[in-house]
Amino acid sequence: MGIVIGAGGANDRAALPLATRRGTHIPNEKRKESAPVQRRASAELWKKERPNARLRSATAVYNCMGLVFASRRTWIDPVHLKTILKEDEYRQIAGPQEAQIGDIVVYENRRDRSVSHIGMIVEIVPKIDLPSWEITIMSKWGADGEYLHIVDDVPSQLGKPATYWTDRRLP
Amino acid sequence: MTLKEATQEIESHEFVARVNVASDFRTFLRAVAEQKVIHVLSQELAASENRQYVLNRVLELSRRKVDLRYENPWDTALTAYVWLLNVKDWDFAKIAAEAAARAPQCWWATKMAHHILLEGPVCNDAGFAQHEFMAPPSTAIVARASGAEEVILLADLLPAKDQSVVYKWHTGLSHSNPPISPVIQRWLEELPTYTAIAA
Repeated sequence: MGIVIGAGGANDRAALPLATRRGTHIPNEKRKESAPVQRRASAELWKKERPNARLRSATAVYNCMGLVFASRRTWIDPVHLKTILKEDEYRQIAGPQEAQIGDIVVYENRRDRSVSHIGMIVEIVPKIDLPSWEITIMSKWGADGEYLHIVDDVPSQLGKPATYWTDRRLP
Repeated sequence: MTLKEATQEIESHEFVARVNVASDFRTFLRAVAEQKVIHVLSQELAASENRQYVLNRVLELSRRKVDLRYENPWDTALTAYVWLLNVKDWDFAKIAAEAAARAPQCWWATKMAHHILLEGPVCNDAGFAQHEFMAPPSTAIVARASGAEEVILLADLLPAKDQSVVYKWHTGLSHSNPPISPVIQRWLEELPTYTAIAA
């Protein structure tokens, strides 16, 4: 084992050939699967601490970005999110009130507002008694599981939902 | 909690699960720094024999055989130990980073080793030793570790142009070009040592 210079880049043969709509390579790195004992420990921990989140899949081979932009195939660093959103022609929407299924929520670190997590909206249920929506997200919690959860029901390390984005086109 | 208990907790599956929700290196380091056991271990590393203990732990874990089907189960612990040594003892950190770089099938440990061996010191802004703020948070925050000589400068809150200057100053390359704000300059003159965050 050693240090790969330029890991995940266009010249890294271990990286998947992944690109934006404009053809810009999206750096990505494939991560080894965690041992079963570790995946079980992760599931148990979050079952205890986030009991309302539903585990969909327990695997480490992709992260939140890899779920949304690479069909669960690889890890993409959130530092590349801005490029992907721009070159894949996403537009920011005002917030949950404009969101639809398939749109993306970007989470930011509470302190410095750096991007810490992203997820995809899979369900929107209006809450008539308080005028708002219960938004369910599908997101990957790092090397831990892929979860279905209410938008702000994530481990604190993943920050808070901050912005909403869509690639929808009007007819 | 003893030193041994702290390392046992850091090497546990639960600790790994808790900090591996992160999708990027910075969030991962923050998650690590926020864990109480890391604060405990950090304080223990004030003693040189404890730093030697942790270094020995890195050397041992990095030599262990692993199941080739899976990620190295000590990846998180190796990263945490190398990072703490980086904050406390730069010479030990380099030795630890070289060992971690050779450990098989690592993820975060490889990235940590990359930073230390190829780019310089790495610091996290979770501020586990914060006691005193000397500047408005909108520009920068300086934290003094209690009882220690070192200072952690949260460079990633600085403007980009100041980050690279601060980092170069630490590595002895330059501290005058490009020009930096008077506030940052005053801190640099007052600080005996510090660890800058790589941009």
